[in-house]
Amino acid sequence: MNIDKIFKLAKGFYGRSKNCKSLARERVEKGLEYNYVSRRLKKRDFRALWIQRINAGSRQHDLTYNNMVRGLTASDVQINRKILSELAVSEPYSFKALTILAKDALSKLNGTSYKPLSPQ
Amino acid sequence: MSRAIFKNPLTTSPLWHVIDATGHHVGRLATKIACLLRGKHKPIYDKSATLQCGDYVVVLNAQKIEFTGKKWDQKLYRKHSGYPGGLKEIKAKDMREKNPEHIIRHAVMGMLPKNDSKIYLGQRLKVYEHLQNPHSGQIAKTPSSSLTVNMGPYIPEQLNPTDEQLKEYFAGYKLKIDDTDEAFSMVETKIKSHKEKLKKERRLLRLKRVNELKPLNIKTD
Repeated sequence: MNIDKIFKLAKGFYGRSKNCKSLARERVEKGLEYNYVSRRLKKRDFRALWIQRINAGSRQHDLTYNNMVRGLTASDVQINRKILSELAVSEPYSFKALTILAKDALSKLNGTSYKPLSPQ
Repeated sequence: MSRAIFKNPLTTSPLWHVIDATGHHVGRLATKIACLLRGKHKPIYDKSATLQCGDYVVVLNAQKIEFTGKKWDQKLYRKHSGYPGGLKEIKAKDMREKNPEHIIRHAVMGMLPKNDSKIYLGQRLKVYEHLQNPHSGQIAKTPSSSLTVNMGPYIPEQLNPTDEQLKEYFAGYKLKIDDTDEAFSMVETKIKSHKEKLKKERRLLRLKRVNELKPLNIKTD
């Protein structure tokens, strides 16, 4: 690559890696390799974050994440985890309505030993 | 989304939780405390901003906490001074007399993430021996919310299952035996499966075809 493009990509790097040609070339190549890998990791990380947030929001209504997803899929609701996590933060009443939907569906499924969370 | 939320003072003001530890078991309480310190009970949780979404926890009556089994005699708290022969082992019952706050602290610090935020989260945990604590004024000042956990002493669960729940629980384990003679004979003798029956029939068919099976000729004289 052209050396000017490399110096443009090397802004904010530590020490002489932003000023000197050979060091900048090495560090920029490594940075682009990390970028390639983390574009695939980003999809996994965000899904884990959404699941942690839905878990916290549903435990406020006496439900765990696994039971809530089970109830929603049984009632044929196809909302994805990204929107569910945003609803838990900014629209709590609609999230509460979804938990009620899930609890109704769970009570109709066979083989459920659904035990509510203990208050302690 | 998360960066804009953390600029709101309503969400970033930490909560103060008060827990009474009489009768609780150490490890099971420590998991809940670690969850509260990190902020995992809030839907705005972010693993890169634990100090902004975490809460303060005050634990009282630390001397009345309980271990199950023989751990008061067998569990050892170890530390090493760095010099040879400098291993010191303290039993749990001796620790309860010397420094009872260390029992809960040691359990919770082992459950926090092992990074730079562990020290700062450990500073937010306040453990006291008895009910006296210097935090009552600050706790009264913070605005009340439904998310604060004010836990009392331990009350063991009392399960009262209904007949339907008992049936579901034992559904796969109880055998259904009819009150016929065939069923009684099967239970007493060795119960053979369907596959062994089929094997037996196939073996008999094979022997018939090869003319090895001959009918018994009982001669009557």
